[in-house]
Amino acid sequence: MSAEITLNQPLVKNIWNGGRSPFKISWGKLMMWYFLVGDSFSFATFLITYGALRFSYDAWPNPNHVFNAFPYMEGVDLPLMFVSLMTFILIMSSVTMVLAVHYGNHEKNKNKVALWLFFTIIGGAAFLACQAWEWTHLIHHGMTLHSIPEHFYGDHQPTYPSAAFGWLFFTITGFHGFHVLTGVVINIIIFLKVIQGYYDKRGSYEMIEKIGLYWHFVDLVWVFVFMAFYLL
Amino acid sequence: MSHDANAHSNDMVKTIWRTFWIMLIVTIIEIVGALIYPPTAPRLILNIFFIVMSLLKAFYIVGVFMHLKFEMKHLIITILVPTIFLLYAVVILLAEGQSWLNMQLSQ
Repeated sequence: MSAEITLNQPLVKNIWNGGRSPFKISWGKLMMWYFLVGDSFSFATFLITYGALRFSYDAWPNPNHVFNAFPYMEGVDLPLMFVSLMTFILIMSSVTMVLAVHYGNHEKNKNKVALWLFFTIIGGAAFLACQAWEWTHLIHHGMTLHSIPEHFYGDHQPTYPSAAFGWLFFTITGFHGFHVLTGVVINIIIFLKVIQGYYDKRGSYEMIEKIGLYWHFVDLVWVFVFMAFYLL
Repeated sequence: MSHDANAHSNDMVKTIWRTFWIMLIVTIIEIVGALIYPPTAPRLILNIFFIVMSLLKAFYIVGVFMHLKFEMKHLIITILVPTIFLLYAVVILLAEGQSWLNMQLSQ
């Protein structure tokens, strides 16, 4: 009798003994988390390279002179205003995403999930449009992969001009923009499945949560890209 | 029971919006700081401010939006501990960049 009790109810419960997830989250979400940890390393290599090269020059392009344009306001000096708008759009789309996840998990409310996912897609697309405009503007003003116009430096002209600024800017914001594009595409696929009632049939809206993790990660990376290129 | 679940749901929605406002205000403060900071004052103070503010935003995104704050401790550890390597790389490569500059200028 007592032996049977010990077998069925071990006195020491160890979550690492197997048979269930010690993290209490599903396999899919766990793997998304580990993918994002890996992806944070790819972005970190980009940004750390940026930092190392930046420290190796006595003068660096001044963000207030590089990023001072706004659509339809040609010639007006508006430092950092356009990128502030882009940052606002991305934070906003993160909020709409987390609301879609929330209404999926807690209320299984198909219409609310679809509505907030739709806003997220709009936000992502708006961000990409802004980035396309900014790239076009910089390219028109003489920025290439290996050279930048002198007025980017402002008052502090460098002893040696930086050859890498264009490479760094276009590859880092490009890699981030590619993540946003991927996120928008996946969001559209998920959105179509939501309105078809696919997740109601499955009985779980967890897929929204997985793409949500990815989408917030893209927002997280932007915080650091924004800091490195536009603030520091 | 259902009423409790609804109350919890509403609390979470409130937390989400509060987080949004915090992030928006932090971003606005950062931009105002970048624009009005006197060019003659030491950049170091401003840069430390930007880094702290960005880490604060990162904490809110990962903690609240990605829900990591509410997950199990073991999961949090396996996700956050590997980022120590990034700190290592930041310190060692920024120091190396500085020494490249010193070499160039001393030539």
